[in-house]
Amino acid sequence: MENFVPLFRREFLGYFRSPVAYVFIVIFLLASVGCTFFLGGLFESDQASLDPFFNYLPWLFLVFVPAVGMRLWAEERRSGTIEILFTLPVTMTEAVLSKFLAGWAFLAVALFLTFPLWLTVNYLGNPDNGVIFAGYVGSLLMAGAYLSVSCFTSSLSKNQVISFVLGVVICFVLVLLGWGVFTDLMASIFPAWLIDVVADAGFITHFQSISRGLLDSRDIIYFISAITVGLALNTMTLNARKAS
Amino acid sequence: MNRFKQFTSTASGVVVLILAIVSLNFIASKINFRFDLTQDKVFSLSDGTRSLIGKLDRDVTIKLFFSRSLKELPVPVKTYATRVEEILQEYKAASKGRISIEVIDPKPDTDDEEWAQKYGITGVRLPKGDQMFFGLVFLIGTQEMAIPYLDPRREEFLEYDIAEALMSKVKKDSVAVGVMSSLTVIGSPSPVMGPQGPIDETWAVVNDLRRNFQVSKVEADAKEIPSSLKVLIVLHPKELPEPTLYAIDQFVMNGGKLIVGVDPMSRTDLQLNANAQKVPGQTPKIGSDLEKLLAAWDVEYDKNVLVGDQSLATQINAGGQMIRYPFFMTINESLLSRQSVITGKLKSMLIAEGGTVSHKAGATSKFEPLIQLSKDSGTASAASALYTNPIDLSRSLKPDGKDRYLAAAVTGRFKSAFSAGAPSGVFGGAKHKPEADADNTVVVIADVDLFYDQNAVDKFRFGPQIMIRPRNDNLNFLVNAVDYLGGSEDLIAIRSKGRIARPFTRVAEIQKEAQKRWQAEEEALTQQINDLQRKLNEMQAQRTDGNRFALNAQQQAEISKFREDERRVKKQRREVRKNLRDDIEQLGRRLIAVNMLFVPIAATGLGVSVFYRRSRRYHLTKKGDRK
Amino acid sequence: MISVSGLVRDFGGFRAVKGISFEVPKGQILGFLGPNGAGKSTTMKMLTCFIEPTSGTATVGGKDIIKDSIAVRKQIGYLPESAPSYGEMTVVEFLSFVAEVRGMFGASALKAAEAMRETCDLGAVWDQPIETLSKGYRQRVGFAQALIHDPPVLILDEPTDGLDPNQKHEVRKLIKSMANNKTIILSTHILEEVDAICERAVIIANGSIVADATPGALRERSRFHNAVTMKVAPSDLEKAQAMLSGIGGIGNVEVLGGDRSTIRVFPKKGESIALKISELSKQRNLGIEELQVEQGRLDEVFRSVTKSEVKASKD
Repeated sequence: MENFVPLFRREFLGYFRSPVAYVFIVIFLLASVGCTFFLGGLFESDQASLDPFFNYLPWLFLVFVPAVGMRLWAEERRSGTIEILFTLPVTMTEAVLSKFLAGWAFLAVALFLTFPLWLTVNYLGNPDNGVIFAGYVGSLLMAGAYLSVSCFTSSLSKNQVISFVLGVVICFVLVLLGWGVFTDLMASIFPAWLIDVVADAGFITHFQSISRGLLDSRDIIYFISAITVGLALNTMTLNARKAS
Repeated sequence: MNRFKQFTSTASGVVVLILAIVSLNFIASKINFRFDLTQDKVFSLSDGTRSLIGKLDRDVTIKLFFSRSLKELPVPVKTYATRVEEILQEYKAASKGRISIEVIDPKPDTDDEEWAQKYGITGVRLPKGDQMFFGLVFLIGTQEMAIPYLDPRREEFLEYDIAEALMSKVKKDSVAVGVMSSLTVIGSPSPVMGPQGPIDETWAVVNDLRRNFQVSKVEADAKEIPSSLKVLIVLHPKELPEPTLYAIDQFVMNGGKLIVGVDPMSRTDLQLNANAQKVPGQTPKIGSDLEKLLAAWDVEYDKNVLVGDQSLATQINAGGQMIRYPFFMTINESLLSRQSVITGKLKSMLIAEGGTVSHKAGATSKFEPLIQLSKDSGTASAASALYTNPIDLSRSLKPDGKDRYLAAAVTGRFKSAFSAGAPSGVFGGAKHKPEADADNTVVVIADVDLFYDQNAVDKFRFGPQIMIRPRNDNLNFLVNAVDYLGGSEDLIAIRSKGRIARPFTRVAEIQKEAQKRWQAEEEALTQQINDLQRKLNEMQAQRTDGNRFALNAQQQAEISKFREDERRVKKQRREVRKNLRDDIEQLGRRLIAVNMLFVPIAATGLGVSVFYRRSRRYHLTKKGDRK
Repeated sequence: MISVSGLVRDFGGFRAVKGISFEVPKGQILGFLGPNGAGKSTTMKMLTCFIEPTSGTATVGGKDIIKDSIAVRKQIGYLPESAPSYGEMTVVEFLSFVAEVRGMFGASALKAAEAMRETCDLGAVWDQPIETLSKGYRQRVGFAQALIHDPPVLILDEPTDGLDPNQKHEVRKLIKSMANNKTIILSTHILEEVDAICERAVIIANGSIVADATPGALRERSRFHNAVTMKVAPSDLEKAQAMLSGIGGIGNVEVLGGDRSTIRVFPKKGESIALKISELSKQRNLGIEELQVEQGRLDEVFRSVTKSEVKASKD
C-alpha cells in the first residue's frame, strides 16, 4: 500500500483540476437545496430536522454518484493512461482502492458542502443533531455503495456515457429493491421470504435505518459489503481485461 | 481453453465472494451492535426500563404475534416488527432470564391464529383481504395482558408501552389512586349511543392512569377518603363542603399523597356542564379553589386571576379566525423544571387558560416550581375573561416581567387547616390530626383544562379501535406526578421518551415580534371597526324602536356610509395582518437564497481562481522562457 | 538482462503473438521491427506487465513478469505508443506523481522531475496542462516519465512516431546517449531508425520472429547487397550490357531510368562484382559516368521477410 498516497492524491486532486468537479458540486448543491425546500417543504414543515433533505438524497445520488464515478476507469482506458498506471509498480488493489476512496472523498466534500442546511435548521430551531449526524453517516455509506457500483461499471466500458448509464441502471435497481412500492408489486409474484431477502438487499432500507439516528452494525456491514462486492467486481473486470 | 479457465475462475470468484458476503451479513444479523445517536436515546432501553426489569420478581413470557408470512405487508409495518423484535430481545437480555420471548407467525386457519384471537390480538384487514396480526401478549404468572395492535405511529412510545404492560400486572395492586372531581373525569357509560356502542365519557387521562395504577372514583362530597388510597387526585374542586375539605386535610396529615388541579376559569367545565351553568342572570361558576387547604400548604393561588404569556401564545381558532392566543400557552422544555422527576423528561405541555401558584412569603416548606412562565407573562381577570372576545383579551394582556408558576410541588411538615379540630358535620371517624408526622408532598397545578382530551390527545380510528396518541406531555405530567408520589420513579424515566415535535423557535419569535410591531396599528383599526359597528347597531336599534319599517333617506345614506367605511377599514386591517405573515415569508425566502447561493458561489469562485492561478503560472513560465 | 521464452498471447480467438523467444543482453539497444499488427506492441505490453501472456514467460533483470511483476515494473521505464498521459495535470505535476509512485517522495520526487526538465527540455511547458501541449512535447513528457527513475531497462513503443525530423533527431540522440548503461527495446516501423540507433534488429511478422540480426547482417540478406548501379551514356548501353555478360558471378541485370542509361547489376549470391566491373570497363574503355555499390536495402529485406507471412495471414 506504499503507493496508495500518491495515487489517491492524484485522483482526488484530479477532480479539482477539471472544471467538471466544480460544476458537479454546484449542480448537486442546487439540486439538494431545491429538493429540500421546494419538494420537501423544509420551511413550511415547521420542524427543525433535515428529513426533507435525507429523503431525497438516495434519488439525487442515483444520478450524481455515477456521474462522479464514471470517469474513474473509462477515462483511463479511453486516453490510454491505464497503460501508464498499470506499468507503474502499482498493485491492482492499490489502484482500485485509491480511485474508489478518492471518489468517495470527493463525494464527502460535496456532502459536507450541504452544511448550510444544517446551519439553517439549527438557526430556526433545536434539531436533534445526533440524528442529523447519523443521516450524514448513512448518506456517506450509501454514497460509497453507489460509487463502488459506478467504479465497476466504469471499468466495463471506454465510454463514460455508457458507464454512467449502466451505473444509474444498476443503482436504480438496488434502490428499487428496498422501495415499498416495488416490494408490494413483487409480492404478487414471489414468496414472502424471497421478498424479505430482496428488500434487505436494497439501499434505502439500510439508509433509512441509519438516518433515523441508529448506527446499527448490520446496516454498516451491509454497506461495507456492498462496497466490497462492487470493488471486487471492478478488480475482476480489470484482471480479466489484463488476461484476455 | 485458457479463456474458459479465466472465465470460470472469475465467475467462481464472484460466486465465492457473494456467498461470503451473504453469510457475513447473515452472521451480522445475529449479533448486532447498535449505537444510538439520537439526543433522547430513542432506540436504547432507558435506565428506568432496566431498573424496572431488574425488579421483576416473576417470570414473564412475551409473545409477539406477527403475520410475517403475509405477502402484502406494508413495508413500514415489517420494519417496525423487526424493531419490536429487537427491543424485546433487549428486554430479555436485561432481565437476567426472567423474560422469555416467543415470536409467532399466526398463519390463517391454524392454532396460532386461534390463540392470537383468544389473547385479544386485533386482526387488521389488509386491502386484499388477508388478516394481519401484530400484537404482544404478556404472560405473567397466571395473568395475561395484551397490546392488541402495535401501531408504527407509536414507535417512539414502544419501550414505554411494553414496560407499562409489564408493570401493569405487577404494580396495579400496589398504587391505589383516587380521583375526585366536579367534572365527569371518570364517566359512567353514558346513555348516548355512539356508532360503536355507548360513548365512554371517561377522559383519556384516567385511562392512562388506569393502565398504571388502580384507579377509583371518590365522590366530590365524600366525607371520608379511603385510607387504602395512596394518592388522591383532586381536579377542579368547586365549593367543596367542609367535611370533604376536612377529609382531604386529614388524608394529607396522615401521609396521603395529594395532587390538586385548580382552575380560575375552566372552559371544559363550561362545555361539559353547559346546561347546569345556564342559570339565567347568573355568571357561570367555572372557577375552582381549595382555599384554606392550599394556604395550609403554603400555596398562594387566586381564583380570580387568569394568567397569559405572550411568548408562549398558541394558535387557536377564535370564531373562524386563527389567532395567537396568549392564554393558551405552549410550554417548552426550558420552562419545565429539569430538576424534578415529574417534569424532568417532559418536552412540551399545553396550558389552557390557567392561573398561578406561588409560595407563601416566609414559609419554611420547600417549594419546587414545576411549570414556569416566561418574562412575557401577565394577568387578566378571570371574571371578565369569559365575556371578552379572545382577540381583545389577548390585546389586553400586558407582560410585566414577573416570575410566575403554573404548577409546583410543595414539601414540608404541614399543619392541619382545621386548627380547631373537626368541623361540624363530621361524626366519628379517626382522631383529628393537627400536624403531619413527617414531610409530605403536595403537587398543585393551576389548570384543569389541560387534562381534557381536546387539549391532550389526538384520536384516530384504526379499524374497530380508536387509537390515542398524546399530543403533548399533559397526561404524562399527571401520570408522572402519581408515579412520583406513589413511589415508583422507574416508569418516570421511560415516559415521554418520544420524539416530540421540534418546531422552528425562530419563526415563533419573529411572529411574536411582528405581532408586537403591528399590534398598535391593528388595535387602532379594530377600535375603528368596533366604533363603526356600534354606531350601526345603534341606528338599527333606533329603527326597530321607532318607525319600524320606514327609514328616512338620511338614515339610509348614513348606514350605507358606515358600511362603506367598515369595509374600507377591514380591508386595511387585512393588509396589516398580512404584514404579520410577511416577515416570516421573507425569512423563508432569504434562507432559501442563502442556501442556494452561498456555497455554489464560493465553489464557483474557488474553481475560477484555481484555473486562473494555473493558467497564470503557465503564462509566467512561457514569458520566462522567452527571455 | 531481458530473456523472453515462448511468449504467446491470444486476443479472443486470434493469436497475436505466437511463441516469441529472444534474449537482450545488458546495454544493448534492440529495435523491434514489423508491420502494423505484427505483435510488437503486444510483446512490449507483456514485457511491461500491462497484459499477461497466454503462455510462456519472460524475465527482466532476473525477475519473472508473471510471478514478480511489481519488481519487473520497478526496473522498467516504459513509453507506451502515442505517449498517453493525464491531460489535466501539468507537466511538473505529472512527473512528480510518477516519481512518487516510483518510490521517491516529496522533495526528492520534485528533484527527479526537475532533472527531467533538463534532460527532456521541458522548461517551456513546465507548468502547462499536458492536454494543451503539442505532439512533440507530449512525446517528451512520455520520455521524461519513462526515464524519471533512471531504470536499467527502457521499453519504448514507437518513440519517434509523429515527430518532425528535428525532433526525431533529438530523440534518437537522447536514446543513443543512454545506450551505455541501459538496456533498451524500441519498436518502430521506420527502418532508418533501426539503422541510426539499434545494435540489433528483430523483425516480427504475424506474431513470430522472422529475422534477428544486426542491421548490417540484415542488409546482407538483401538482393541489393553488393549490387552495382552504373550510369553510362545511352549510346554505350548495348556495349555495357555485352561487357557485363562476360563477367562471372553476375546474376540479373536491369536497365533503369527513362533515358535507359542506368544499369543495375545484381551479383550472384556471395559474389563481389564491383571491382570486376570497374576494372573491365576501364579495359574496354567504357565511359562510366557513375558507379555505385549498394549496401543492401533494409526495406527490401523487411518486405521480403514479412511478405510471405503477411500473405499467409491473409488467408
